[in-house]
Formats: sequence, C-alpha cells, structure tokens
Amino acid sequence: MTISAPATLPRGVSDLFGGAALAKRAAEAALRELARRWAYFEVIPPSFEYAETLAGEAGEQIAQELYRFLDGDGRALALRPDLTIPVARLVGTRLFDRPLPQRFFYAGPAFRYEEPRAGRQREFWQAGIELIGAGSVDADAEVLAFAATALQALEIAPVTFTLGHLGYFHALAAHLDLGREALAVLQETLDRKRADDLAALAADLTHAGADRAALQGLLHLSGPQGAGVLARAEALARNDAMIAAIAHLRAVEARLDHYGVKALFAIDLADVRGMDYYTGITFKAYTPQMGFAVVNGGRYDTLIGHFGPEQPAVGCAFYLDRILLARQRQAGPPPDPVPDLLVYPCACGGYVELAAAARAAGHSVALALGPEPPAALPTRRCPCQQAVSR
Amino acid sequence: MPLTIALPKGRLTDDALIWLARAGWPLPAEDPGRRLIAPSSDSSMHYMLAKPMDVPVFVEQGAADVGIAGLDVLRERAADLFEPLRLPFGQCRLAVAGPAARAGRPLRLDAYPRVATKYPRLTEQYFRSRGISAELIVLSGSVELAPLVNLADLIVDLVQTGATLRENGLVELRTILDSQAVLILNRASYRLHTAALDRLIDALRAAVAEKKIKD
Repeated sequence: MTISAPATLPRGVSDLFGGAALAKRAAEAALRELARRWAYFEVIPPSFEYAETLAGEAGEQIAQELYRFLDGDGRALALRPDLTIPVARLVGTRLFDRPLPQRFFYAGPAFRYEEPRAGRQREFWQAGIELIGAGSVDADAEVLAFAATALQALEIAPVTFTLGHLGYFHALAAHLDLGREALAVLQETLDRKRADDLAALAADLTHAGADRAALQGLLHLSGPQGAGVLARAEALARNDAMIAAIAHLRAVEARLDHYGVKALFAIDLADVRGMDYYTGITFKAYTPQMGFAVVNGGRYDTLIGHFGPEQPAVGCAFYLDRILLARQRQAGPPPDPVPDLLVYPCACGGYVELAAAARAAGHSVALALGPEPPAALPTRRCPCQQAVSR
Repeated sequence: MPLTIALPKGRLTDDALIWLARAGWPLPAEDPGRRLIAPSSDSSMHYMLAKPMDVPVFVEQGAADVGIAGLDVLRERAADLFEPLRLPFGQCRLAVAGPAARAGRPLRLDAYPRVATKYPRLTEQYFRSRGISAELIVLSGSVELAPLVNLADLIVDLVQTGATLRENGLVELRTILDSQAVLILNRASYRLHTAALDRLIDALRAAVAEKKIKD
C-alpha cells in the first residue's frame, strides 16, 4: 500500500497527546470549576458564524486575520477569532431580557490567520468569563480578581498584571483631535514603547505645551503599585474624561485591595493595544518564559449593542496554550498519563471482575494484552493464574 | 535572578559593549567572543552572543530579557516586543542596489526583477507595495555577488559606506529603511523586572544624551 496524502499538518495547528492533552483538559476543567464557584455558567457558541458578525466588531486587525470560507448558499462564513464576540452576539440577539447581570464562562478553540510562533498558533484555546449588564466598579474588580485567583489555581507563578483604562487615552486623543491615521501611528508607537518616536510625534504637534506634555508623558504612566502613576496621570490630564478614568482606576484599586490582590496589578495607561471593542479598563497578565500576555481582558460597553440592546460588559480570556507552555518551561513537561494497574487476562474469566472492581474504585485499569507488559506498574492476577504459576 | 542580555555577534558587538559601559553597566568578565554565554563581572547579568538576525527571536521568546539589535533585523523578523530606545551606533541603510549601468531606470519598468537578499520579508513588502512582482532569491551572505554572476537583477542589502557596492560595480538605487541599533525588551520580562529594566533604559538614555552634548 502506498500513502499518497502527506501526513503533515498545516502551519499553526498542532496535535496534543499524552501529558500535554491531559494538562490542557485539566486546566480547562479547573477554570470551569472556579467559574462555577463565582457563578459563571458555561455557554457553548458555534465555531463558525457569518463573517460579517465576526468581522464587523472586532476591528481591522482581527478582520484581516479571519479564516473565511463560503456557505453552501454563497454567504461568507468565518471561524471565530475569539469567543467574546459570539457570546456578545448570543446575548444581544437572544438573552437580552434575562435578569441582569448575567455571568458566562466559555472554553474552546479560536482561530486567527497570523504568523505562528511559540504561544501564538493559528488554532488556539481560550477559556474566559463575561460579566454582562453590570457597569460598576465592582463588576470590573470582580473580573480582575477572578483572573488573579484563576492564575493562582493554574499554578503558574509569579504573575504580574497590568491595568489600564482606554478612556484616558481616547479622551486625550479626542482632545488632541487626532485623525484616524495619526491615532493608529500613536497606538503602535505606545504599544512598542518607542520613546524617541513619541517625542518626535509630540514635537510635531501645534498644540499647547501642556497637550504635548500629556502626550509625551503617556509612556511614563506605567509602573507598579506605589510608583505614583495615577497621581502623575492626574497631573497630566487635559479634560474631565481623563480625570474620570483615573478616579475609576482608583476605585477599582480599592476593591482589589479588598480581594487581597492589589499588589499584583501594575498600572499602564500606555497599554492601548487590544481588541478594538474595549471601551474602559483593560488588563493583561504576564509570567516568566512567555513573551505574550497569558490573560487579556477589559470592558466593552458598546459591543453587545451591535447585536441587540446595548449592555455594559466586562470580561477576560485565558490563553490556555500560553499558560501551559509557560508552566512547561517553568516546571518541565507534564508527565504522560499511565494506568494505575495492570490486570492479566486468564482462562477462568476472573480477571473481568478484578478489573471492574478496581475501575469502580476509580482506578485506571489496563488489561495486559501485549507481549511485553510495561515495566514498573502494579499488576494483579486472577487466583487461577497464580495457582498455575506455582 | 540575573537578567539575560542578548547582543549581536559581529559588527555591533563592540559598540554595544561600549554603550553599556558608558551607562555604567557591568560588562562580561571575560571576552564574550569565546563563549556564547558569559556572566558579567558582578554576576548580575548574563551576556549572550547571538547571530544578529536571531537577537529579536531570543528576546521575543523570553530566552533573553533584553537585547540590542539593528532596526533592520527587528523589522525583518517582525518581532513583537518593546523598543524603548534607539542607540546612536550601527547606522546603515537597507537599500535596493543594482548594476551601475541601470542607475536611471525606474524599478517599476522591470516586469519580474530577480532580487537577491538576506531580507525576504522587507524585500517582498517593498516590491509588492509598488505593484512589482519580484522573484526573491534568498541568500545568507555575499549578496553583492548575485548580479555579477547573473543570479539576480537587483539586490536588497545593508549599505554602510557603499564601498562594497562600488567594488562590485553596483550602485544604490533606493533606500528601504534607515537602520540603527535599538534596545529591545521582552514584554513579559519588562513587567516582571520593571525596576531593573527601567534603570537600564534610563542609564542608557542618559549616556546617549550626555554623548550628544559632548559632540
């Protein structure tokens, strides 16, 4: 027999097996259970939808990265690039009149056509929560505290969060009356922390000195708790909306203190890249040995309004592949699963009962069917066999 | 935990070490040319020497926390990291060059130019954005040779003084990118070692500013 099809995989997808498969399911199960304890219950949206549903709201970057294909009737479909948009569509079109707030958990693969690299594959697994219908500081704090608690439960450490507020940046951009193109350049400059380029941008502005100072100061509005970032941000603020964003962050921090996780959160008001649908707080989590954020979240008060009645919403997504990769780099590869017990078949059939009893007690039981039994496993034989061997 | 810094092996190594010394940063205890990874004199840093093209990869992946790389390889690799500071050395241009005989001929008149380069991503992007379907010939060195042996019509390569081009009968036709050395940081490392890395950035920035005043 000849094998004609190549037994290889396209770029950006991977097989999981052994310890890696087990670890991914275990991490997903741990998040699902924690979510249940915080009263977030699972929704299971479809893997693909109409492309216009997914492309319209996620922003240009994501729209370029969609996997698109055609339905039988010629309509354009796309694989979901995240699960927040499908959940927003579900709430906006079907669950809009349920009692508020609503809390949802989700887990599953998402798909983006981007250059694959470690921790950024084209098919990647996300799990996350969405808190919908609550626009309060308490809602923001709940999602942040959940993320911090969950990363502890997933046993990667140490973790640092960055917390920002897009309202501050957008209010400054509006104040400076930046055009679309200038805004995109500014976002890229801030995202890469290119201080020299930002200084040049600020110098080009014809605005008042305080405006230029606010723009150039953005890059320095980043630092751990106690570094006085919010006080400096307030001093640079040019309008009420910017002041309000800072006041909001202060209130969120007070709540994080109640949860006992405030010290984990560094402030970064220059963190302006993320999903285009974010409107308020944004946050990310980082861990050693992983160059990209392992959690990404924020408030998106206008997204659901694209599908139904507008509702405030906040949520976060855990990048399971990155979390598992980081954990593997920090602590070594997860061990492959092995059976707890090996049972030898025998002529009298007593082995069936032996195996069944051990399985009922919760053990993983394999029948010794191969010629060479794997070494170092506890074994059990039926009394009839032991009689023969003696 | 000591920080790991990745430096490009080759033409940028000496300048990188000079600028780190000017910023008051501890240098490798011994000549790093002999070892690929070496501790600093006070063990507070690990120095790693990598091929220039690989430095952004080491830093992006977190194998090194911080690095110094040319803007050319940074853009070629499209690495996703922080670039807080440009450093005043390693200035050069990524340029399109071709035989001296064709100097005045616009690039757009070539139907399918064959272009030899070590920078396939930037080359492809440059020609494609001008509507020219170039045929890329990816080499790992001696790119200037390609037009001489009729392997390529044009080359895209780094130009510092232009001497190598002239020696091979080539002229610079277009500049794709003005390059110089850039300090780069891994995104997660910056979050996890903010204080130490901020000190490094500030010290280097101060050294750059001081040198500017002196010159």
